[in-house]
Amino acid sequence: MDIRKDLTAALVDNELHDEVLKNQLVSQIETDSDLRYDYMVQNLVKTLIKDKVSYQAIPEKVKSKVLRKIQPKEVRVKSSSTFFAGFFSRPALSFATAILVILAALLILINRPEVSEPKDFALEQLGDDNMFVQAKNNFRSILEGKLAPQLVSSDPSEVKNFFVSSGVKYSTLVPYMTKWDLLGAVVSEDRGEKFAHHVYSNPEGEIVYLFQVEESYLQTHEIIKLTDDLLSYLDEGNCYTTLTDDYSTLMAKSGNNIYAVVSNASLEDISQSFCALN
Amino acid sequence: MLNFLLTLLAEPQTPEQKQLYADFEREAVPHMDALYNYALKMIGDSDDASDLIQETYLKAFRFFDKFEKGTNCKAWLFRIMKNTYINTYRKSTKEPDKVDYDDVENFYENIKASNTDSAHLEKDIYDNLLDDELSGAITSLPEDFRTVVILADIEGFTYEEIADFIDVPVGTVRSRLHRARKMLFTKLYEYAGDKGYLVKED
Repeated sequence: MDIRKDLTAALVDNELHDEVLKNQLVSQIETDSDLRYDYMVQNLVKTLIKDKVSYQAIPEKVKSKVLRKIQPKEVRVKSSSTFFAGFFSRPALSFATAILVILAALLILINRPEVSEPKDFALEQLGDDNMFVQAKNNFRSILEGKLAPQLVSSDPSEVKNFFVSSGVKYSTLVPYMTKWDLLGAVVSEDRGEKFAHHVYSNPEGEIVYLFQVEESYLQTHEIIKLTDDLLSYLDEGNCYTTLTDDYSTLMAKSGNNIYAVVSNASLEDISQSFCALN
Repeated sequence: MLNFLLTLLAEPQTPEQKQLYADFEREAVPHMDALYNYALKMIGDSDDASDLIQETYLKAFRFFDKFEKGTNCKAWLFRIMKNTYINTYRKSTKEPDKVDYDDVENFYENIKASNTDSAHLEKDIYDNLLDDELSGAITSLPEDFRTVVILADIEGFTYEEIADFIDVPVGTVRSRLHRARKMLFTKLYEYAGDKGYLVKED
């Protein structure tokens, strides 16, 4: 009986489900050197691939990036709002009781002890392409007079227009601050990409430098980066503050942008003004 | 006042959407490693493979309500990835030069004829080959053959699953796999010869 040679592949793969055919093939392999050669080659290559080709699991940062894009915000933040929604739908609870519960919850939130940072992310931020490091270096250059604004303006919309006309591709945030006066702005360039920086000051001569980047730049790690755990921390809506080299540094997220603020003002002052920009 | 507070506390996602995500996380996310591994072996570039996975999962999540529960989620994800790959990456990926299978077959027969014993088929001879060399040999296969080798020998798909994935009869899967392994053998034999692992018979 003439047996197709490609059945040797099926035998190696345990895909020959017809027992009669399988037995015929096995006995023919014993007597037919051509068929035996084919079978040995199929077996050899399959074994080599199994033993030698490593299985590449998806890198954790790629997996996190994909999941971040599809996770509903509630899953990320683990909000307790389901509890509240159910609570309010119960007819036994009166309007006044509901208000009291909300007020109590707000009081607890306002008066809760300050939670310490889960870890010191600043220690992990290394390298010239790190946003945190760049922000601190740029601020030092401003204080030393090495970095001057390319645009001097106190008008937020003029600064935003300057960013657009200078080639910044992402939407920027230039808020009007009651305690801080806008001084001007700088656009930097790295590997063809433009980045937005602007500066505030106050009557005491303290300076605030704000550097903002669309988060997608940080996720790709190509030009500028942050460690994944700090990025996740900011993604969850947290504001990270730290005092390093006598400068107050703050990082937070607003819209699609991650921003770094460095200042010679107190950490408390900049936290109050810059933790929740919109 | 109450309306305002309720608005603040309201869920932007419906319970159905949250359930959909929970189902997706349970059914689809565990296959991410397998899809990435396949994408990497097919494309050969980790950045492009990552982009392909991202696009595949975004599409899969968008259409997850259409996925028939209880059916093979891994196969469903692979089909989405295949379509995304065809539409986007295949156009930009350099396809290896066409292989004349008759040449491969002739070379294969020559190897067979020039070796009087089966010593050159011993696995030990090829043990010094590196993962990169074997992966490179797989990447150099024409796409139809590369696909079946990766799916069968790396991902562990059955012939029926592969047939469903590439839309061909099971017999075609078997035949392509048989040929693909022969092509790979000729390449590995050459590598081993070049590196002096083979003792050539006169």
